[in-house]
Amino acid sequence: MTQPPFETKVDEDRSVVSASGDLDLSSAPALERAIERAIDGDNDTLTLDLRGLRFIDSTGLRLVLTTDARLRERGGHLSVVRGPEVVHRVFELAVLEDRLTFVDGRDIGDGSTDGEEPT
Amino acid sequence: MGTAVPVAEQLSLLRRFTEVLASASSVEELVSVLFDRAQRTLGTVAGALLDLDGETLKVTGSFGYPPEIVETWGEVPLSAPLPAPEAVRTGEPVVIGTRAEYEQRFPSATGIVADEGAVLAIPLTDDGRPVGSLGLRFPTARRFSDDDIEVLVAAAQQFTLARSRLALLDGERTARADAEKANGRLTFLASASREIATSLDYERTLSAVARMAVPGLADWCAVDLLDDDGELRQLAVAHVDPDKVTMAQELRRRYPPDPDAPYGLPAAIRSGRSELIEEIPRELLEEAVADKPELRALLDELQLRSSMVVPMVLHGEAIGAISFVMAESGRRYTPLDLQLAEELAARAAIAIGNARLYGAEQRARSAAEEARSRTEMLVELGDRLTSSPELLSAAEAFARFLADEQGDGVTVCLLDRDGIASLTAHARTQDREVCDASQRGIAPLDDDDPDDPVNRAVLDRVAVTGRSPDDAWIPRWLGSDRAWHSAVVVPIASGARTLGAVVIGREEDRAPFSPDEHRFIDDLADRAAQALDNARLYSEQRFIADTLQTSLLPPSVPHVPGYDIAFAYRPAGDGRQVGGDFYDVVDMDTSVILVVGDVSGKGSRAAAVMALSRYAIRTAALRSTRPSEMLETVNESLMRQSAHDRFTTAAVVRLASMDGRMTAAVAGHPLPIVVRADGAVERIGRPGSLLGVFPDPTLHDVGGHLHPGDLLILYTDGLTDARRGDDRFGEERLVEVLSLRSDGPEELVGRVMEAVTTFAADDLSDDIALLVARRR
Repeated sequence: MTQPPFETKVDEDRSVVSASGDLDLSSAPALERAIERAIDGDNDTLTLDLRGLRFIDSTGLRLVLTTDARLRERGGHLSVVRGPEVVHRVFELAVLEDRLTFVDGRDIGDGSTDGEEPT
Repeated sequence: MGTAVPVAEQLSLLRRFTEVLASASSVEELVSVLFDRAQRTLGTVAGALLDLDGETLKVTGSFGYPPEIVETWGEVPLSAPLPAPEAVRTGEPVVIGTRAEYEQRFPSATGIVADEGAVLAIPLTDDGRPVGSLGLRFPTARRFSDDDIEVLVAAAQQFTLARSRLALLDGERTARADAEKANGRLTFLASASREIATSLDYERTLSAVARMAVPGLADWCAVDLLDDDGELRQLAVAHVDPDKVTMAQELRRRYPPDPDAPYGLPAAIRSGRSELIEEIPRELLEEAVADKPELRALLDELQLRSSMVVPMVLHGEAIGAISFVMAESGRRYTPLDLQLAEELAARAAIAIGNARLYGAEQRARSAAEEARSRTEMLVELGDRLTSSPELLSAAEAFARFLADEQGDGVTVCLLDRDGIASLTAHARTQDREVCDASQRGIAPLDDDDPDDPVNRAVLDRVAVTGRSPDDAWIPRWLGSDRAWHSAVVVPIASGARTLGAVVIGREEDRAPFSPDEHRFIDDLADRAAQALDNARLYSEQRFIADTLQTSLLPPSVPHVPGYDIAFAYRPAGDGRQVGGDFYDVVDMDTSVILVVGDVSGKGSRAAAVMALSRYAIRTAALRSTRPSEMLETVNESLMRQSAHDRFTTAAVVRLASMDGRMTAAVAGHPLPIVVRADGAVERIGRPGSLLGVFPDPTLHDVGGHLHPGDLLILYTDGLTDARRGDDRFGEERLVEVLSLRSDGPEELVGRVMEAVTTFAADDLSDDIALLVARRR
């Protein structure tokens, strides 16, 4: 069986990292590298756009949480653009809704993830 | 005389004479018939047959004359005043009845004859042309009638006719013999060409051609080829007598041809031109043995008479030559024979050219084939060993592979970290199973024997080759139940590390290992070494993981009053890493606590967190009945560990032993499922915080009741997240499997695990822990 494509996109100007596809054990390192690039240097704020995700597992969850913790330590913060229901439910199960800053797509001012749905 | 009867009698005699002449098969026979009749029928005492040759008459046959007369009068000019020339000149019979008559007519020839008899000279004509005369001498004087003369002339005519016929016949015979000889040449050429053209083994073919040439076309025939170094090599020499062939080969060996010789084989090769010596001059032979007196007698014995040497020319260059020699048979070669020989040599040259081209192509092709098949073999070996990640199975696969491809028996011997032979796999070509070498009575490595080839291979990294029966180690390493013929020992080494050695043996029916094969086996061993090294690491990791896992997880669950409990645990992938999932069943006398959890990450740190979580719950259970408090204890412990990059999820359910009351708390974990006895599916619990992330987790206790026959299922997300392509096993499929009636927790656990394993095609990327309890 082939792996569904997992893609990341980094908008360094606005510090937005978008992820699409399945975020799990095998794809988490790719997202981690994308995040590293986006927060390289002293950048302490980041928006993680999960609208393109179809799946997230505990590895993905852990990456979101560690990113949040790192930015907090720097005095910054992480915003998460809420993913589809199936993805967001994982955050709900982990009772992370109030612990993380979730935003809607319009809050970051564009529909940049449009057309990035996995094919 | 002159009567009718004698004439009739004479005619009858003439007829019989004609018949006798007709039955003669040669001119000699004809002449003897003629003379015989002349004596017996005519009563002549001497006779001579004279043939006209230009202006001369030559005696070609006679009887009754003394030799000196024949010698003196063997030839007479046509103009001579004698009876025979006159008969030829005039075309009329010369009839002389008496001695006196003779002396009168031929006064100058009276010395020839001494008696009184009559003389006749009858002209012989063929088709009207004078060809000679027949002279007859009678003992006494005699008168001849015209009839007598006419009959004799007729008889002579018959003789001449018969003689012409026989001469024609002879000519025809000669022509036919010539034709047959020519035909024989063509037949030889045809069959030799066919022989040359149909076989690509030209060396063998040329030898056959040489043999075909004797004795018909030569007493000796030899074929020489220039080898790659430009040296002449005698490919074949043929003679009807095998002893002579041996002698010729010996001579050739002792006296190789002088490359600068002005004639013979070297000259033909140098010039590319053929050589015909119709009659070998004696001086030539003398010269040849001038400085080799010991060959003198031999030369005389050989009786070399006539020879031909024809070079085989390919692309303008002589590549060899065919030599034909006539000796004891006394025959001689003619330009016609040379033509045939040149034809043969030309065809042979073309055939050799083709064969060499074909041979070169074949060699190139088989070298390419060999290289490709070897590359394929290396790839195949790599594949087979990679698909056998365990060390033992990889060693077995290697032994199996070599037994299939290289030898009849194979022993793979691997060393452990201390350099002790820890593992031996033995494979045989005929046997399906690979077994431990000890089963074949193969002793383990004897460390003290520095001459043991396996010791030498592993210590010095030397490959060793052996042959039975000289090398006693062959049966020791391959088993003494077979007749090993040859064997090689090759070290198995990866980088600086020697992993062991492999012993490969062959039985009688296979050729011993060639240096080329030996090198290839080295390559195979190198390839195997990488895979075996990986397998060794893999096996060690797997062993550690298994050990750790069993020490962390209960191998069985306690028997608890009122409930049947079953569980399944399956580590992700190949099981080399300690998984993060855990489960526990704690019997608290009046209640039982079921725990399923998942530590993020893998490896030893995850294992530590797992152990911590599990013991934290057990400790908390001693002082609290609330699952949420147990989870809080875990959170506190984890927070103290300050392992911020790790968290744990868990579901804890406490079941009362007596009445089936249950309390559940869930921390970032899938909610436990309840399947009622009637098949209805519910979830119990409320989502709570991940453990180990926040100092103040949000956790809730949720109550419920488990009735007899109801099932409670706790699981980790490795189950529902199991993937097939871009599809996940998911909760729906899980519920579907759960809602099917089952006999008990064991069966249900088995069915769920089977469903998910089938779904994911055995390729699970995450651990799965599953715990099922049914109330009795």
